[in-house]
Amino acid sequence: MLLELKNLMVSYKTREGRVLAVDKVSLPVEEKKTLGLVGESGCGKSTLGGAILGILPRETKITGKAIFNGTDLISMPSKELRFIRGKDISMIFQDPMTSLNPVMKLRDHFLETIFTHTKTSKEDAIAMAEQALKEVGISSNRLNDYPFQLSGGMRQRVMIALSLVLNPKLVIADEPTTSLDVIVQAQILQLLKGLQEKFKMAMILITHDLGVVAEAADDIGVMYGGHLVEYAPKFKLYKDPLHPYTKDLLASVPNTNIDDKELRFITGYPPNLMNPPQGCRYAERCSKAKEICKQKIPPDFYTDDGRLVKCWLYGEGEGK
Amino acid sequence: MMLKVKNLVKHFPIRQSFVKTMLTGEKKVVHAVNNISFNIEERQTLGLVGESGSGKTTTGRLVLRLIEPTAGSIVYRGMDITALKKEPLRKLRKEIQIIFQDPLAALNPYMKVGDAVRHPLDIHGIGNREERHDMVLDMLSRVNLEPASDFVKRYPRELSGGQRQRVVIARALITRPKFVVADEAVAMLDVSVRSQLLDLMLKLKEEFNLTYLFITHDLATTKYICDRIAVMYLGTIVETGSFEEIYKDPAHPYTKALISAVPEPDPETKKKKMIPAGEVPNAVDLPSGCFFHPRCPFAMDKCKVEEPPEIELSETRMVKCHLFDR
Repeated sequence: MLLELKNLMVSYKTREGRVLAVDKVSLPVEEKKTLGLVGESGCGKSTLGGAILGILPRETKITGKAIFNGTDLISMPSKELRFIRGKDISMIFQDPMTSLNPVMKLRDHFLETIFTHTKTSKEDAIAMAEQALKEVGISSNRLNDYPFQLSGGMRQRVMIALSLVLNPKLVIADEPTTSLDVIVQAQILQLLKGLQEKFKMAMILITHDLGVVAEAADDIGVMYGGHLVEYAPKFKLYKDPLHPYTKDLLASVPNTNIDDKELRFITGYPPNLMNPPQGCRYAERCSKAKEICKQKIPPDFYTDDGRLVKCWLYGEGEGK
Repeated sequence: MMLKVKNLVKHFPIRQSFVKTMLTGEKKVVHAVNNISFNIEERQTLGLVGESGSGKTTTGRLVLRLIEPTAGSIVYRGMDITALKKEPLRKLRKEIQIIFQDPLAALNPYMKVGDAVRHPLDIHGIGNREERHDMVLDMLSRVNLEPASDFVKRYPRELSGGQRQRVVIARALITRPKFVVADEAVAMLDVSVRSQLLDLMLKLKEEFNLTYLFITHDLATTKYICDRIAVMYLGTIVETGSFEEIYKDPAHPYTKALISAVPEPDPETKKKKMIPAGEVPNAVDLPSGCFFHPRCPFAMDKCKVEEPPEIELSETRMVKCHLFDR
C-alpha cells in the first residue's frame, strides 16, 4: 500500500465557527492504482487532498494519520514535508490559469520545481523539462512561452508535465478536467491514463463527475458531508451501488441513452458542516431514512467482499 | 417563427500596427461566426453545441444584438432587428433576455439578491414600488428560492452556486421575456445540481411559454431540454437535426466525436471513442476547404480544397460534409 489514510479529520476555523470538513476518513491508495474520490461541492474531497500535501491554511486542525511509504505525513514537520511535496507526491489543480504563475515563462516553472528538489545542472534541468513536455504532447519550443499564450487544454497539459517532471509516486489530481470542453477532457483523461501506466504512479482523482471516474479510476470513494460513505472497486460500485447517496448521485449523471429522458436529481442541499446534523449526513435527503439515521451517525460497515458502506441499512441489529 | 437567422457573419478585427497594415495591405480578423443560418420555432428549444472557440457564445450575443453583426440578418417574430435603433432596441430587451454562465461574475457582489432581480424592472419602468417588490418575491419563489422574503436580503456570496444561478434565472425572467438565450447556464455546476437547474428551466419554459437558445459544450445535457440541435465548429454550423436524429445517427464526423467524448457513468460500456487529436485551430487563418479536415479521420482530398455544401438528409436534417455529397 502506497498511502493509507487513518481516521483523518480536518476542521477549519471560520468567523462563524468551526467547520468539520473531513470527518474520520480511512482509505487505502494502492501502488500504481487510481483512486477516484467523488462528491458534490463542499463534501470535503478537495480538503482531503490538501491535507495529505499539507497545503491547507495554517489554522486548519488535522488529526489522524496519512501514512505514505511508512511515514506519517500529518505529524511530519512542514520543513520535511517540503521535500516530499512536489517530488514524491505532486498535485494537478483544477484551474491551470490560476495555478500557473502568469508572469513566469514555462521554462521557469520547470526550473523552480526541479531546483527545489534536486541538484541538477541547468542544461539537464531544461532537458528534463523538454522531455516532460514531449510526454504530454507539447513541442519544446514552447518553453519560452507564458501561460496566457496557451489554450486551456494546453495549460492543463503543462500542469501535468510539471507534476510529472520528478517522477512522483503519487499524483493528486483535483478536478483536472472540470473547466475543459468534452473533447479536451477526453484527451486529458486518455493522456493521464497513458502516463500513469508508463511511469507506474498512483493517482488520486478528485471529481464531482461519476462519468469521469468510470473510465479513469480503479477504486472509488464517495464522500458526502465530510464522511466517506462508500468505498468499492469501480466495477462493483457502478453495477451495484450500496449507499443511497451513491445510487442517487449515479442516477443524476447525464448519459447518452436516447430512450432515457427523465431528469433525475437529488432534492434539497448538502448539510451545513458548521452545524452538521446529529445522525447520518444524508438522512435529510435520503428516501430510505429511518429513525436511527437521524439520531446516530452510522459506523463503517464492511461487506463480505470488503466494500465499505456507511449506512444503517447495512447494519446489524438496531439498524435493520 | 420566433427567430430567423440568415447568413450571419461576425468578424472581430485584430489590433495591429498601422505600419504593418500598410506594408502587408491586409487587415487580420478573427472569423468568429462564418455565414450561419438557423430558425427557432415558437416555444421550441434549439441547442447550439460546440467547443470553446466554435462561435456559439458570439452567436448568442449576436442574436440579442449585444454585439453588432458584420453581415446577415436577424428576424425576431417577423421584425428585422439587425439594424434596430437604440431606443426600440432597448424596449425589445424586455422580451429577449440572457442567462449567463458564471453566476458569480454575472451578479454584482454588492447588490442584494432582491435588488439584482428588481433591477430590470427599474430600468424598464415596470410597476410601482410595491408591485415591483411583489413581482420579485413571486419570481424568487418560482425559481424555488424560498422563503423569498429571506433571500431578497442576502448577498450573492452567501449563496451556493446553484442558488446563485437561480437568482440569475429569476433576473432574466422578471420582465417576462419570450425568448431567452441560455449561455452555458449549467456548465459551472455540479452534476446533481445541473439536473435540478435543467428541471427548473423546463418548468419555467412551460409556465412562461418560453423559447430557448440553449448554448452548451455538453451534448449530454441537450437531451433533456432541446427539441433541435445545431452543432457548431469554427463558426459554422456543421449539422442540424432533431436531437433523436443526431443522437441515434450522428452524421458529421465532428458530431460523432462530440458524442463519443461524453463520459458514460458505466465502466462496462464499450463505447467506441473517437477523439480527434489536437485542438480547434485559431479562427484568424481558417483552414482551407472544410474547416474540420485537419482533424477529421475521414478527410479526403476534396475536403482540403472545397468547402462542403449544406446537404439536406431529410426535411429536418442538414449536414455540411463531403462524405454525404453524391
